[in-house]
Amino acid sequence: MSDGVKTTAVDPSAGEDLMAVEDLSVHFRQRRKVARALDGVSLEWRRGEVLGVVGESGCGKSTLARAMLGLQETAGGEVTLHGNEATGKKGLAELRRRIQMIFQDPYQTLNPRQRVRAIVTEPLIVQNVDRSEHTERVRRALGDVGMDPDRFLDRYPHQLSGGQRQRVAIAAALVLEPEGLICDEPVSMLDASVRSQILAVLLELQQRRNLALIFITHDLSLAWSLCDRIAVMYLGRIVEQGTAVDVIESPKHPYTQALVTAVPVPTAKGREDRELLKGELPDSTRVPAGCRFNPRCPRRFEPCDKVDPTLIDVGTSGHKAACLLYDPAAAEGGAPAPGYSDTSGEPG
Amino acid sequence: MRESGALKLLTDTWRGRFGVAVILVAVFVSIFGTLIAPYEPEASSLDVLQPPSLDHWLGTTESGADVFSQLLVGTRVSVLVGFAAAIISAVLGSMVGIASGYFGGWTDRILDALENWFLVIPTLPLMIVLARLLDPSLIVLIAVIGFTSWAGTGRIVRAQVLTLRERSFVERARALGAGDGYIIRTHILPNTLPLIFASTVLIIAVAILSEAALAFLGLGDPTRISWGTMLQNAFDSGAPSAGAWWYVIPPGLCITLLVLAVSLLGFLYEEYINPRLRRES
Amino acid sequence: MSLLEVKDLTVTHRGKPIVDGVDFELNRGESLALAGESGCGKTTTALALMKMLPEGLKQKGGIVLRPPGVEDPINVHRRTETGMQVVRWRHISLVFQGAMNALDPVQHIDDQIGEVIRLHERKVTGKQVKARIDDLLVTVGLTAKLGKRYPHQLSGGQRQRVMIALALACRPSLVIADEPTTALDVVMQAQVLQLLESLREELDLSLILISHDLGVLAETCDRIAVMYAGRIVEIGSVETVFSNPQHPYTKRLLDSLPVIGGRRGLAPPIPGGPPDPGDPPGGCAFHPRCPYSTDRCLEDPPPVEVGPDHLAACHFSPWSSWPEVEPQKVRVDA
Repeated sequence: MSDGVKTTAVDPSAGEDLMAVEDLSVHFRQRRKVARALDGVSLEWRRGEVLGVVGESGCGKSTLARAMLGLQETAGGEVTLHGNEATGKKGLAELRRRIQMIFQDPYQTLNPRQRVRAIVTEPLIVQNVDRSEHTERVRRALGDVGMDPDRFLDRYPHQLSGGQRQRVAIAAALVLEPEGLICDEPVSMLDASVRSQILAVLLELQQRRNLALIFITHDLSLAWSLCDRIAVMYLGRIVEQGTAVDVIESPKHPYTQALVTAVPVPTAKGREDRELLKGELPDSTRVPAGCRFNPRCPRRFEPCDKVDPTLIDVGTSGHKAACLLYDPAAAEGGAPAPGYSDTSGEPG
Repeated sequence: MRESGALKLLTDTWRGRFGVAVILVAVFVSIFGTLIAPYEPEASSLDVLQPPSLDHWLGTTESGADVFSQLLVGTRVSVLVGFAAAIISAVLGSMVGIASGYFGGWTDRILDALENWFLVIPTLPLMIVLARLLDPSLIVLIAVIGFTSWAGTGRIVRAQVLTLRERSFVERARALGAGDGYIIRTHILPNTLPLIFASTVLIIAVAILSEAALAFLGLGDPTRISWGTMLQNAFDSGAPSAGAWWYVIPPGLCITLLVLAVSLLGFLYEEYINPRLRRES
Repeated sequence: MSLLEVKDLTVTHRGKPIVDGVDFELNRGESLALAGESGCGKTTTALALMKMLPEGLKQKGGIVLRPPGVEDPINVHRRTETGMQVVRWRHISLVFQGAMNALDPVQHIDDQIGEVIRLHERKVTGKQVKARIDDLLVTVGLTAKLGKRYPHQLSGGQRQRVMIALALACRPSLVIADEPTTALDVVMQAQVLQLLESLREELDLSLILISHDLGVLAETCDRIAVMYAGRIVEIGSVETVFSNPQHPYTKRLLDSLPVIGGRRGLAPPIPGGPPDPGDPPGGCAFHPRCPYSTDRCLEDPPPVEVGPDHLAACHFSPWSSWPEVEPQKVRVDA
């Protein structure tokens, strides 16, 4: 089984996969409609890598994270950890020891009735780590995120600032010494100065411990400055992926191009000439036929509403985009590309 | 910090002081009532329906027993039924509420329907029917009142659990591989307890009233004196029309005072956990 | 003559200053950015301009408004509550942060806009109101048809546009927008910002934009005031402040900001957290977090003119160059 699961390495020079998802789909039933929150996503996350998953809210990036952690029932596809399927009791147990997650809202992420000590110890209890190790590991985890254990162990969340809460959440994620940490908008609710502190803590851990990170964010500039690779999602699918430099400096997919131009630049009077996307992200119960971006696309042409493009190479070192502009064969052939043939329920 | 806030509400408001005082007295009397009572509460004598005097502070009953002694001894049943029934109702309500809120799906639909059923049927007639069917005794009374009054608590708990379930610390625990039992114990229950407590305090009041009502209708434990049975006896013997106010007013007043005290504390606690209800004093 | 003149504006809470001596002027058609982290007093400043502070906060200091077409200047600071009701919305209006909370969920959009117009102009006819509502909705890039909807039937971006339409309903000369795009995605944010900018030109509006997002402010505003612990620590044109910051706080904030296409990686973050509102450290409030601070910083730094229309409140301004900052391990010092 595991042989078939091995993903084809995008870049031969790249490291080994920590996790990989293959053709992953998640559907939500909404009355009579089916929302395709994730619609055939394939992605590799390498050891020690900082991977950015960017997109607008509703594009499925948080669903992807939850599905990767087995918190979300999937409608198809596979999630692997070190090449082994991460399902079933054993697979999930392994996954939960090696991969941790932190969440966006520092006010929701901690139980208001637990002290910092209990919050950070919790993973050790759940994972049945020997009691004698608890104190030492909790103190070390707090130290790793720059908090003095003696001062903070006995505090309640309401006695902490937003940044401190997020640090506690990170400490609780680190106490099991995971190999990967999925961060769902970890700093979007924090102030600028606190934000860069939290990011510095995460990056320091990444370098010192070779901790792999996934940053789920709507903030392209953040992904640009921190990530090794970036995957751009639109309406439940990855439309472009590659190294941060490739994706941001020479975006290929019209959606990525639009996202990049939309980012405000903190230099006086950034982009006067920007061309903005019209309209809004459609909801995932009504995925447009053909390329899902075509109704909003400034560069759409004739076959775009008929042919659903697949990710194809558009550059070196694994730069891929799912756009017919770069796939003349598919654009002419008019046949739905393999692997993306639409098998799921009727949209709309 | 928070704890001292709760104490402050108890000691600094007249409602808090009154509630605490009445309940302390009631609990004391319910424990030591039989010892302080000047007479054997059911000893009959020839002094039938005597008004209050130095010998009988609150007069005598139709069989010549001492009203004051009956009042003291009767406290125990009211307090016992109130607290025990409320505890049953709290346990039932929180179990149902947590199960239906946390597990959702079919569990929720079935438990929710049950809850609605108990919420809409008039409780007193149901209690009367149940108490009639079973042999009247203290245990039956407690059980009947407890089983018919949990639905409100269940409702409140379910709503709270529904919001808790979405909080990311619950999701985080799940991502760690924590089981349902663990999550309910460490995350759901501690964050629901204040609400359970608040609604239970108010149920104590309802239970005390219900006991009095059932006893007044003759469905109380016939072997024990309670404020409700006193009222029943008083009315059966025509005490009100005979002008024997000392036989009717004391048990009625005691019921009112205790229910008022418990309710006040319940409201105070609700204000404490939900500061939006707090008015500037 | 400037449209708005704020002199020594101070807001106290139980005697503690939340806003501490803020001065600025705003010209007609100009947009001013109020930047800073939460608790720095930027929203409080904005509310004080409309005398809409929550209970418990007291304001002091001069606020003078000179709307076009009104002969005598309006002395906001001397107005009573009733007097202010005439000024609010007619001359100064506000775009709130959370559009969903600011709109009444059970009223049609056009009824809500109409209500605002009728409240301030008694003599308008129903027809005129209807025409104005349709006009407003089109102005903010919506269709008149959307007026018949309820707030929950609109998307986040559309609701924010409705909020802007509401703010424009009485043709004010000054609009204050408090984090108008915080809840929106990049694309929607860019759309709303573009709208605000085009409206400003079209209607000759003055705009005060409050945000913690320096990128947003840089793109939309002419001038920027950076606030820290209740004071303006630096104010100047957006061009000069961003290209040549003269206060260490501004400098560090700009450095720590990820910029697309700029340098990758993280600059050394500012240590510690912002001080509690109303309880700043003595002297220069930034000194405990400042890598360049000396004993002199225990004294209050006065605003220094460091260039044309460019003030910074730092003892060492103007800075000709910024010494390299040692990256240090970031600890929680608060």
